[in-house]
Amino acid sequence: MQKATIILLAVIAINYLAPFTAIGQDQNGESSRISINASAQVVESIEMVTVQDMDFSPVQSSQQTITIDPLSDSNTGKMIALGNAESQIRVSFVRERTLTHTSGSTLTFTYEIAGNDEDDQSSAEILQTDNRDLTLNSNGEYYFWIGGQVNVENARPGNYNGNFTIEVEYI
Amino acid sequence: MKKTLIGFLFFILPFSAINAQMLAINVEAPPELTVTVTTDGVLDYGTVLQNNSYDIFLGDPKTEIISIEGQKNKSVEVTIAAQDLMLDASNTISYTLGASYANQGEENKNQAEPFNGNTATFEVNGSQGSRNENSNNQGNSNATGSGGGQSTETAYVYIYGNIDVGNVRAGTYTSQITISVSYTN
Repeated sequence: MQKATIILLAVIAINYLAPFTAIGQDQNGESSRISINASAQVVESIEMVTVQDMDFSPVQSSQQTITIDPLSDSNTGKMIALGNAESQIRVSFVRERTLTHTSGSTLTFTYEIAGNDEDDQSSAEILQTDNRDLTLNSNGEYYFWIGGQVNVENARPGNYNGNFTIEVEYI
Repeated sequence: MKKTLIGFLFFILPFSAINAQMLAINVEAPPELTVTVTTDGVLDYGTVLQNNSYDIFLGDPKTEIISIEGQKNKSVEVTIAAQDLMLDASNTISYTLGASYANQGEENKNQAEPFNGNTATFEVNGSQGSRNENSNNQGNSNATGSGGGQSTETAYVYIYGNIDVGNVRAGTYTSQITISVSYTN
């Protein structure tokens, strides 16, 4: 089985795949000529592309909990699984991860993931941590939106870093 | 001898002109061929894996559609030049062209006839009741060379085909497919 693992870092990085569209036309009445393009995106087995990292707005001291709703929040992380069209994939991830402060104190972030074979966050479904059988769409894509929540009630001020790992494999 | 003949013609021309009648000369040029991409202009195979083969068939929604508007019942030749998809000089994907045409006046894949290789010659026919009168002029040819009052019809060309992905580098591969259309006479 081929597998792709990706780690979502707290650094903003945007991959934009721009379609190649150039159409030329040459016409002189008795004859005419026009061009279209052919395109294919080759991936090595199955790949995960991070389109957007999670974005936490500055936390206010009065806040007890930070929540990013994977179905509606624009600050979610976003990833795309790229592979063989219409293939079934299995996704697994660890729901709880520890974020660490430079002083050594920690916070526990509870992840929540929504997935969809269309690029439409609002109609995505919440994925559970157990293996799920999902299907890449006709373009070989499956979309993930990563959110979750963390309790910051007793947190020390400062930066907390952590990562999120999701594994995707063909069935 | 030559000088004599020329002098004679010069002499009789004014005399002939007196009895001449005005004669309208009407040269009918065929209407311009108008070729248009009616789809998005990208034959898109989407995400593909190394060492696999992928087809876009005639009936696939990804098939590209070209419309050709030309003189009704006049024959046109369509030639398609396609290249392999390329990432760089050492990473290419071979592309095998698939093409068909429908010349019965409607965009209908069920009426499509396959090309002979990369070329097809067919008349721009039309079904009854689907005639378009050329509105550029009502009689004489005009400066653009369009025909006068000639019926035009629209034929459709479908472009699809197969790619064979070998052990190539990951990335976005592209190529251009050029469709040339001309009247055959």
